[in-house]
Amino acid sequence: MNVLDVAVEVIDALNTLNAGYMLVGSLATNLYGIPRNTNDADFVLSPQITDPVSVSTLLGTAYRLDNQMSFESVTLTSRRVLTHTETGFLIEFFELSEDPHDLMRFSRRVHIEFLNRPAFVPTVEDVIITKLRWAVTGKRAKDALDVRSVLAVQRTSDIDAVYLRRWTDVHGTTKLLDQLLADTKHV
Amino acid sequence: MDALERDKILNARAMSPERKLRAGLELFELNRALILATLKSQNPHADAATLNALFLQRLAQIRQLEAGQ
Repeated sequence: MNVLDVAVEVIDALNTLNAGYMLVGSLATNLYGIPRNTNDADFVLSPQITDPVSVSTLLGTAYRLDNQMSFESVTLTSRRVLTHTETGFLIEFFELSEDPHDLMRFSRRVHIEFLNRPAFVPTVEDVIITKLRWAVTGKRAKDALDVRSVLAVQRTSDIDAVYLRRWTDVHGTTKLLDQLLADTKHV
Repeated sequence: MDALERDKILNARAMSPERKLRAGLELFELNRALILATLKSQNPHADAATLNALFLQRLAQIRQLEAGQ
């Protein structure tokens, strides 16, 4: 079994459960930027609709759900990790938080077709907003590089600049956005 | 921005969303195959289960390094 099969199994399980979910993290970033390697697949789950235990139960014994819950450091969202034991591929489930942008990002999610099944993903603006926040608050250089990649690949006309700047002003990340836009404007 | 990066950007623009989603997962598989091949050369008498256990250890080390960046 390879990790493509793993991703398909997890998405199928989420769709079967009618889970409120979206794929986030580096895989979602790959949709809009230059694809890069990823060691995990991250999902946001709406706690009102489903939970990681239900997903793990449906997936069966090829997966192991960690008992311990941890927290993501920017929005303090709770996280549960599911491991596909054969490949070591990690599935991380983040609970949808009460953070205003987290809620907005989830409400604006869109669906794409992935191997003939629907998969829910954030919009390009929300990927940029989230990654900028991580780059500034979490001080992670790779998040700024991810935003640079997305801005370089996307055309300006594909991005809702008003919405984007509204949130970067709230998060204090507009300066970094402008630096990255200037860096990629000649492509 | 150099010519190589510009080519990567133009290629990414030409790819469908599904293709781009698959690409990240395929790169994981490529890395996995390369690490397993390296482990096999370092442990020529190890069986498949042992090699997979060593791979999982290596993957955990990579994740720790990435988390510390």
